[in-house]
Amino acid sequence: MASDASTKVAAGALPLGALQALLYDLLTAPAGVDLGLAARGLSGDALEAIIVGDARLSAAARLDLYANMYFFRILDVLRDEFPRVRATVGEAPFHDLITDYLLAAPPAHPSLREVGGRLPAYLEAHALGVERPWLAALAALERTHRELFDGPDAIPLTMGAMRSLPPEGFAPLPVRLVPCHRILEQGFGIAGVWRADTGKGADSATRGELPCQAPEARPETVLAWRRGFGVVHRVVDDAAELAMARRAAAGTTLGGLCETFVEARRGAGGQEAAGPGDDGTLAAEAFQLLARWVDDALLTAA
Amino acid sequence: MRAFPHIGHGIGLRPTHYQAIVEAARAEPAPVDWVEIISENFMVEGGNPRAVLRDIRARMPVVMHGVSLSLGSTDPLDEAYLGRIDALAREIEPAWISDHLCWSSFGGHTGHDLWPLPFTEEALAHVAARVIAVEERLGRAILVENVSSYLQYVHSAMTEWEFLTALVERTGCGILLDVNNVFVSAHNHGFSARGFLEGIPRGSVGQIHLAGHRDEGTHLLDTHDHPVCDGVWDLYRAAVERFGGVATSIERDDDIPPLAVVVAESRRAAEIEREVLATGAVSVTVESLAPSGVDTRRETAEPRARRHGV
Repeated sequence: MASDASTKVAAGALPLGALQALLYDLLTAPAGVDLGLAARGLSGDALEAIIVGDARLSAAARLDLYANMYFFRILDVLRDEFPRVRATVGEAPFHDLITDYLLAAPPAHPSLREVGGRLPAYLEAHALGVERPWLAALAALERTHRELFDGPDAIPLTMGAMRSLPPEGFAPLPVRLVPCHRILEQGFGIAGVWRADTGKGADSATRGELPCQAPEARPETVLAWRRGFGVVHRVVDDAAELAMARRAAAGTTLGGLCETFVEARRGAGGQEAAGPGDDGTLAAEAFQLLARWVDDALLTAA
Repeated sequence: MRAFPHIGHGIGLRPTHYQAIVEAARAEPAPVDWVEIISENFMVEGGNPRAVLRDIRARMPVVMHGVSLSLGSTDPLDEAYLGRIDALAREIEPAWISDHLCWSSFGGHTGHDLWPLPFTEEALAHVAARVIAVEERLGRAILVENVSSYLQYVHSAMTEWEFLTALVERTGCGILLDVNNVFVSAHNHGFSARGFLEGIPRGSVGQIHLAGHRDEGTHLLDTHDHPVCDGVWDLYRAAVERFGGVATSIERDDDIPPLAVVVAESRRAAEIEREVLATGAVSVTVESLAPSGVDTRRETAEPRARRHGV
């Protein structure tokens, strides 16, 4: 594309498609329009055959205004979306990261909301992610918060609704986790270094953001969901609760959740928890956990 | 051109004002007549943005203003995106839908900006065909907005207003006349802003935008981070004199002040319109633009310029 278009620059009147091909390349060139032209063996003057320059601004300078807007608009969005990653690596490395990211994964969705969707995966192989292997996991949790913010709505099950059930109606009640949730399994203790006070203001310097400390390398499962209009997350370190969450994510019944809990406890506890005398205790534990889920607005009627 | 009703004076809905506008919309009378949303911000499944939109739409008309239609791109129209516009429109029943005269995508990639087009017959035929395709897909006429621009093409064969006029004639679309964009582009390219207005046919303007900009010395930058300046207010007065009463909204996207400040600008626009219409110095009246099938009383960050910051 570029060579065809470049050879026709002198002609001035490029067909619309060729014009857009050339300008798109220059607008998204990582080091600006002049270097983008130089990479094609062209000087800034070459653009004067296409774009009207004047004493105030040359053709290249005019196009460079747009090139800056392209980059900085997206940088602004990603600075807001990944405040902890930014605070951890620093402003200049974050800027360079986004420059690299846009070259590797140029925006392909009409909404700016999606522009950061591939950044966590991209970080895994980027030098910053290699230097801090946990950075991609931190980015994944920040991205999850963004995605859940305006994910699908659901009416959470309430304790009042549970109490209004007749005894025989409790176990067969179809339930599932609210659709706006995510279960993240990561290799680092990200939740422990997550700074809740980061990302609330406009500028990292004025709000004194601190970098995240390196987390411990260990498996961690995080359950994130939207409660009301805010996104929250917590670590799920109880295997029985995790088994319940996975089953609830697929949809089940209240009885099914209790069964899952009991089975997981028995599987984990072996003989110690397997005696018939423990059934009541396990059921009470399961109900206690369900009550917490309901209080957290995690369950909805399926 | 199919008529777009004069639904009064509104403002752009921005997250900073969500709570305030929900509360304000419940007042009698509400401080604004309608709100304009950035369509892409509401093409989501749920959460606070959709809840706010439902609440406001139950009380006043809403206009959908998009930034990603990329009418001038040589890429194919994005059918998935059109589907999302259509779905949102079916849900909220906007007074109308608008987007920009620009290209913003190429090769399947999106620039999230409003890049100017050359004003050539080739571009005109291309955009006109796409406007017609969009209107057929959405089952309604759309408004097309003039953008602020910082460059012009050597091979443009007509002016921007001639291009817009021809587009209206060929497609039946209306014009979303951004008076601030006219002011900014006129300064940047040295044409007459009033000449631009005089070149737009009466009856073709369905909505007007007002906003602030910044003087960068070598050029004006469409930043939406300042109040509407005196020069733009003067140009707005001239626009009302030419086009009559037209639904008008204030855009503010950066350094956003309290809602009352933006509402005050909207009220000032309404006052200017009243003054002009009272003089009778206008050939197109509010009534002549009003007929429409749109039920406006049913229940009920455009890209702007960034400075190089690093």
